Amino acid sequence: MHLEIKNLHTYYGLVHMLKGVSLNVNEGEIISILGRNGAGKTTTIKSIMGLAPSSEGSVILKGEEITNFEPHEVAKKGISFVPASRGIFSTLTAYENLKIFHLKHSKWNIEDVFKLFPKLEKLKFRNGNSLSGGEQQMLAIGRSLVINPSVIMLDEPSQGLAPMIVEDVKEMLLKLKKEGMSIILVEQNLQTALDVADRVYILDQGEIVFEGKSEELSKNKKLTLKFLGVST
Amino acid sequence: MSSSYVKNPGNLQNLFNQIKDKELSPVDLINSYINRINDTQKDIEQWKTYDFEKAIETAKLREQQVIDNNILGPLHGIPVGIKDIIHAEGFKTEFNCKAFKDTDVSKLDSGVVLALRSAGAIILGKTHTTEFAFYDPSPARNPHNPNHTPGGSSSGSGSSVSSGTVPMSVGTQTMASVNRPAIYCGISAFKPTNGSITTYGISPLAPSFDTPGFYGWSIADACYGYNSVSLNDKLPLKSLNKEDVNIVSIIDDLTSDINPNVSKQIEETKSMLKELGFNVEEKKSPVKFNDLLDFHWEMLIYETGKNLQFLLNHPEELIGPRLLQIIKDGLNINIEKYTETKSKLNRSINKFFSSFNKNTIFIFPAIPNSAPVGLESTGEPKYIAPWTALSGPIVSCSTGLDDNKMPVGILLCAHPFKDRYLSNFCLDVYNKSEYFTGLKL
Repeated sequence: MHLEIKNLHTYYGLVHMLKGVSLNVNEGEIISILGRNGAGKTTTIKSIMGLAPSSEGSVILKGEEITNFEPHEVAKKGISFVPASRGIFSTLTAYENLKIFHLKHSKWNIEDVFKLFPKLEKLKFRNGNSLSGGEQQMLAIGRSLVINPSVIMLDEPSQGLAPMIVEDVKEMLLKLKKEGMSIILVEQNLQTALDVADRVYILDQGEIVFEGKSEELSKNKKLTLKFLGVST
Repeated sequence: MSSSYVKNPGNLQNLFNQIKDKELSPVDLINSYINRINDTQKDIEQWKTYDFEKAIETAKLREQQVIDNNILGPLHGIPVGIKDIIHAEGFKTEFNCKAFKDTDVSKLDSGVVLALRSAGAIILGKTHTTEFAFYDPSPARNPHNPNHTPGGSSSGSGSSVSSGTVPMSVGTQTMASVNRPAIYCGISAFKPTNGSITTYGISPLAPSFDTPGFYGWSIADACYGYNSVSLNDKLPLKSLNKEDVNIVSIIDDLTSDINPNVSKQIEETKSMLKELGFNVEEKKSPVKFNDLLDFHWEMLIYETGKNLQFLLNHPEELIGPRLLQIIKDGLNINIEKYTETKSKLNRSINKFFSSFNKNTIFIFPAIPNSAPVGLESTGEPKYIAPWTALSGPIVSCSTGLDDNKMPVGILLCAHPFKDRYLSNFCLDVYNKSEYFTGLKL
């Protein structure tokens, strides 16, 4: 098991957001966390990242306990996080956005990122603020690679993107999977998740209420209607 | 081991971020505090009144506004408690005075409540106050030990945050009424420069000093509350250049009775600041703090007499004895004497601040001792009152517990109208040192 989350409990103020969340992701596997607004999806990845410290439970990466490490330490250990806001520096070019995050020892250099995502190379001299939403998403994913992760966590990468661009993003994720990357994908868009994920978790009010293969979920209309408010 | 009544209600900036990012429902948040009130109110009596139904209704509205991408401001969906001398539409304002028991609900918001609502806050209810913010006590108790006072006059505002029933509350200060309850209750508070935040709709005591102040668990929370409603400070929120900050620990005879538990906090604070790379020096105050205390008290009595003399029209048995006495005393002071005192205070303020550069952060003990036993006295205000008289912003920073497991702490102060500068300093040290992140439970 590459990354294992055991019995995670996290509070915002007095609100018990995560009530014993457990999940895992293997090497070269894509898992998706689904759920309604406020179900605890983003909180789960923020807790893994050390951005929302948990009061109980553990985060174990390649056998090493990294629970509640500082976010930069979690990143150094090999987990990168692409937030929903993408966090692109607007006055830096796409190339500079990659350059300032690039770690010397990373197996991914900037040219490798361009090879994997050729569309990004054409944009390398454009400033962050002149990129479209989809281009920014591509850059944010590219940037998450240059810190040499073995796990990438993405928070709603399809949010606000045109359907054609969402297809590009899905393609990018599948390419990364082929490279052996473990991916945790937080999604509200059920179809996007089902299209790329090997396994799916559904969170509801801070608890895992379903865990299984994507095919199992796509057949279970009752479940998707109950917890996601949509029918497959 | 802390009392089970003490609970950290959460960091305001984080709560706001989670609400804005649709991770935290304002309805879930308000319900968590309602549950906490139900668990503690009977023993701590922090709240004078609350309206759960209205608060939940507003939380639902705030939730819909988040979905519609209509974030009102930095307090969107954040529940707030209001001291019961401050008018808030839909709530009675009883001033903890028997003569106002059957008063109608307020039809208008005070200026500060209006500002809070504009920033998206949810007014959860009214917190207990001493009678008209003077000495006659309120029923509120100290969450660290319910046999001790939470301090006054904003007694309930301090204990409501310290007991985890609300992440932010508002009080008022004329003498030490914001900063003292914060320290006694082990939390933090920001008292802005006198007169810099509107007092419209707040019952006056001594308008030369009356100022609303903001409570939160840590100095970052207290500053966040202030920054959410302040309009008149142009300095941006940013990190400070350590070389530009001049930290001065003020020495004055007034603190000769300080308990070693408290003086230890000052020494530790100085060491922590030096460790962070700040230049810290000790300086004797250029004016006597005992004189400031005298000038402040005389002005306060005079102004209270003038502002609250209408209470003499009510039956005496409905007015607290200490309040009644000060009104009568105040009415016996003539205007010439008052004007002369005011001039002396103004000269002292000028002398004090002209002795230090504008970028000075002052540190000073907040209290001689932790909160005393009993509710009859709201404790000792004399270390804080001279700073109120000096009129600049004051932050209470709880730094530890004494031998009786009661909170103690220090004041961080700045030149008048350097509120944002003080706030930036507080946020800077909060981010850099665990020591400044509030009491550890």
